Amino acid sequence: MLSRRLYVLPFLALLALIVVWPLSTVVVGSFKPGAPLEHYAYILGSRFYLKAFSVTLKLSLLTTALGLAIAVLPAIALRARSRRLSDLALTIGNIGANFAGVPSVLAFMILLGSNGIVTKLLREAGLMEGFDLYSWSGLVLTYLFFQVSIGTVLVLPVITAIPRDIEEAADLLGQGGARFWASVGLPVVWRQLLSVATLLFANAMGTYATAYTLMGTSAQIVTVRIGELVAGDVFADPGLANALSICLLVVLIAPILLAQLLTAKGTKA
Amino acid sequence: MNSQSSPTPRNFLDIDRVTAAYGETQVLHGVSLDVSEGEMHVLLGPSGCGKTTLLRAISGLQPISGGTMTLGGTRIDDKAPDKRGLAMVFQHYALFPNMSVRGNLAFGLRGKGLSRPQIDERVERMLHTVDLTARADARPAALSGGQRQRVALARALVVEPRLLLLDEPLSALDAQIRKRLQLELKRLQRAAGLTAILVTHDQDEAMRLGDRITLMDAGHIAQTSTPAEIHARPANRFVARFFGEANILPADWFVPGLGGHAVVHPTALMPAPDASATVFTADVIDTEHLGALRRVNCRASGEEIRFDFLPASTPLDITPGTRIAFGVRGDAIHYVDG
Ligand SMILES: Nc1ncnc2c1ncn2[C@@H]1O[C@H](COP(=O)(O)OP(=O)(O)OP(=O)(O)O)[C@@H](O)[C@H]1O
Ligand SMILES: [Mg+2]
Repeated sequence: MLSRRLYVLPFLALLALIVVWPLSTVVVGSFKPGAPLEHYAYILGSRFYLKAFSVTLKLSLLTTALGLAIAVLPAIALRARSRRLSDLALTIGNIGANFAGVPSVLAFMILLGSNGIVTKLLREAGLMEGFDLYSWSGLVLTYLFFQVSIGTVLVLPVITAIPRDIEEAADLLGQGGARFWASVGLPVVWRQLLSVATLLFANAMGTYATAYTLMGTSAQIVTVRIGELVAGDVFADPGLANALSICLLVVLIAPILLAQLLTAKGTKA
Repeated sequence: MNSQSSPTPRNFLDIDRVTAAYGETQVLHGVSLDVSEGEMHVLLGPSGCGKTTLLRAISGLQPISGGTMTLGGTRIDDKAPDKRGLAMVFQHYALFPNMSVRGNLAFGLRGKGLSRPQIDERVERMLHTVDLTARADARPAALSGGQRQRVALARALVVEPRLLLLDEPLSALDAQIRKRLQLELKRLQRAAGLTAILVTHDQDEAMRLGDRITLMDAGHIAQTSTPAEIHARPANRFVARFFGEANILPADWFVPGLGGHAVVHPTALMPAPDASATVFTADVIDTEHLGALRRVNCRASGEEIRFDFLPASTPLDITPGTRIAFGVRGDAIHYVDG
């Protein structure tokens, strides 16, 4: 028994090294000597930082919801088709997920930037008036790229695992298609979908490279704010950066805990 | 297919030369089958012979590549699965896990132009019929195997199908419950005058439940007959071998000069009291207990012989090495070609 427990030791050691240690450094660093909560008070009183939090939250929630929806629909469509097609979708999703961050944003710039190929084409066609990649819609678009990619990779197996025969049973009862998915298919896997949503949300909240590559420091995103406080030579304020990080963590963990709570309740019922 | 119209079909379900394939592999090779109204028709056959495929072809879940099917005089093979007026019980029940027993039953009644109270009334009546009223609010996961089976059956019956398809509905249950549900199923089917096709692996189940039995062999139909008939008068050696572990012996043992084979069931052999009644003699290899019966395995002229007797009424002293002379009543022998 004891020796079995020892197997967990490397994991615990690693956990301490890569999570507990840095996190505690951040927590300790966020308290200002003499006036421990001053950084937090400053953040809560700053329009600038509160705005960053609200933009980040909105962006994350919106792209999570859209990303999940965009991933679920093809997963359902592909389920009815061959195995090969869904494997292909999985591969593409995987590639997309690994292509996320700087490279994907550069690709978007080449295609949809002010002088992008697609931009020019669409402009000539009289479409795409008022679209600006270096804006809120650009952020949503570039975030969606990785949200949909990761979403597809995570959602496909969940949808594929729904037993075939219950779908056929619904078909025979005249309750196939959308009715089946609304009444049986999706309700059966809502817990897994909620976990996927949590993951997508956390991923979006913590994203830095995508927003920074696209808009530099004009991106009103918490991670970009943290970045400029750490690396910026004008505004460097590591203590404030630490406090922002802790605030981000709290905002990030709250919905995750809520999701956990929901799932746990569902299991008991 | 054939364009000349046939007269009104005599049979309720008429399956005519149906073929089906998975990709390049043909699985049903022109299957024709008739089922009368109110009949319990059992489909039997070795694993992989195409029973499930045939059932799915009838339901429309499996597309067919040729042939026609009519149900109650109307073509169904060109209709969508839910427009064929049939219901299916799946091997693993396929209950909706997120719904209560009641919800599972009501699901198929939605969108059929029934009012809420009408749906409730039909569901409650069906719950009562299958004795599940007490478990009506439970989720499938909280039910026993036998209860799940009854929910699956009730869900299929509550839509009042013209034809019920059952794919090995009892195979996942242990022997005790299986026997009970076989009886229950038969009673339900009789009481409702339901037409049903039941797939099974189990020949006892087939004999017990079937008004008629169709034995399939590799995508073909080997024989369709009543249980007694298919057992006593198999159409060929495949059918004979499938039922009751019959002895399949050279026909000229019984009628000198006759070709083909003779089918003799293990219970039809009689130890011969005198030489004039003896047909052949065999050496005993071993004996086994089959419940009330005793099975004697022996060998005669290179053929394996199975002989069953009732020790309770026919005390015989048989041990390995004993030589027995056997006789057979003429009417207990069935000859097959080949
Ligand atoms: N989806 C499929 N794709 C390809 N071949 C299949 C598929 N389903 C079944 N088959 C093949 O078709 C043949 C008939 O299968 P089917 O399931 O109808 O047999 P069955 O008589 O129901 O067998 P069992 O008693 O084991 O259930 C088998 O050889 C099987 O391998
Ligand atoms: Mg089968």
